[in-house]
Amino acid sequence: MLSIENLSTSYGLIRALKGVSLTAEDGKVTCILGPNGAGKTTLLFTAAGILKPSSGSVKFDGAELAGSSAPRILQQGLALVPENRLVFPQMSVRDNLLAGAYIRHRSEATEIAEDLENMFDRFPVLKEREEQTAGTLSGGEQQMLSVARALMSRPKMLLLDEPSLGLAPLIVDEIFSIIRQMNNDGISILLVEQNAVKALEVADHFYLLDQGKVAFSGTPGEMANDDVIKRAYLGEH
Amino acid sequence: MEYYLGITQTIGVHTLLGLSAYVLLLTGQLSLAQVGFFAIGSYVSGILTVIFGWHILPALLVGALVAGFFAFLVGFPALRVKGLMLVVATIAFSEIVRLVFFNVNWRVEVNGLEVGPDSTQGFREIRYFAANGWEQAHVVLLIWLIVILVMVLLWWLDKVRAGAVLRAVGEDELAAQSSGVNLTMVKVAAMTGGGVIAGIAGGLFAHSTTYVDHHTFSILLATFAVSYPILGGLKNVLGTLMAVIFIQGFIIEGLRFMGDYRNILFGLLIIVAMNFRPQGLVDGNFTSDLRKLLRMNQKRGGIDA
Repeated sequence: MLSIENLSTSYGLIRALKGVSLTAEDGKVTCILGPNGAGKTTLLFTAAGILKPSSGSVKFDGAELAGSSAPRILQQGLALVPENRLVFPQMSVRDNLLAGAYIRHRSEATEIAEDLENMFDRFPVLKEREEQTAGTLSGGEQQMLSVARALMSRPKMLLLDEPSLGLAPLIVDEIFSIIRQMNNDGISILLVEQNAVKALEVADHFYLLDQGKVAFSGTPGEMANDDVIKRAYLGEH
Repeated sequence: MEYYLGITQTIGVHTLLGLSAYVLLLTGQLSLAQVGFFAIGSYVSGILTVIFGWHILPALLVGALVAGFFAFLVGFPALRVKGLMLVVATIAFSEIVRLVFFNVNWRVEVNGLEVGPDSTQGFREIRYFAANGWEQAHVVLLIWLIVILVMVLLWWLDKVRAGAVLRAVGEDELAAQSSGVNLTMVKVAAMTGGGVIAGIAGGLFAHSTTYVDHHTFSILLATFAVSYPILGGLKNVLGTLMAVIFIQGFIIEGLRFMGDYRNILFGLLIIVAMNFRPQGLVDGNFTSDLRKLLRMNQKRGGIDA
């Protein structure tokens, strides 16, 4: 379980997170909604150790991670899939996937090879493009590659930052079915999304982040009935 | 003959300088500090052989390590800046180093002769090779042994994990970090490694020319250092070597009759190359073409036999 308490992160004088508290349960999909600039990406970056918090705590399975380095946090089983599907454009699809297993020990070579095959089973399109450089993939394929790359570290929880960003509706459906599938396989997910309608299909719990604070927390049912959220995110008047 | 051996030395030294920038470019850092490390390497190893009478090899090694140490120190502030700001910051470093050596005056009497760095007059009489009976061919051999050693080392690095990590950081820092790469360590290590290589190049340069002064360590040299790997491409170390041979061997030496027009030509070359071959001379296609060509020749050879 990931539990974030009173987390604050600043970019110089700008406080992007002003004491955020939330939890993401094991085996569940937890979704964070929020407008642009609410601090969603900052929150994931801080949890993943790419940014250092100014105060507060990030506990994962009981271990305090706030202020730890990104590699250490990944080692604890918390893997980030960054926004805009940041693949290594000049490397082959295969090398991108192997890069995801970077933190695993050399002695796990056979397991890593097995996982590689598993990824190709799970994402057949990546198998077709195995030797192609990642930069030549379409947006949707790159998103699948960046998810698969994160899975190669065998994480307990995935931090997914807007996986549907800039993708066609059919591809978005595919991405969300992959999210559900991964969750069924036992991986906990903390999902940042703008597409609330799609998120409703997969998430077990919602948080709304606004101007660096948690503005709402509730189940999908509660969220769908909240007037403010309805107007702002679900497009109902 | 002397003349050609001289050019061979220059090409060797510049290849090392280019490779020191190559290591950093792999991680996406464009550094003009290489000339600063080069200067440190040349002064330190020069002082060791001239004033302390050391053998050339340990002197080169210590020069390289001191340069590497300063590169290590530069590596940390360099983490905070990227792109143009890193260029400016590293120029500042090189200028500081240059001005420090501009003011270093350490004259010592050795065997009845006054030697050592003489501030504005530069550091003359770095005569280790002549004093110890080395012929120019030996010097060429030493330089190129080191060049080959460094090239093989960097080639090997690209075949193992460490090389992939450098390139991963160069391609996307955030993606590398989220795959568990320690950004600080990789960037500082690259800076240090580049500093060591530039330091060796500096030591070899000082001893092969017997004379360095602050003019030697100008920004022009720093520009050359980064332009070799950029022109040659970052696919592998051969690109840098080819670019040095082309620029030093052809443009600078071959076209000597053109005088200062060569600098215009050099600038022009960079612009043309950036437009037509932004990925550098040696890229993936080039290497695969080369392989195909070699295979074809082998086949033909087979039929003839």
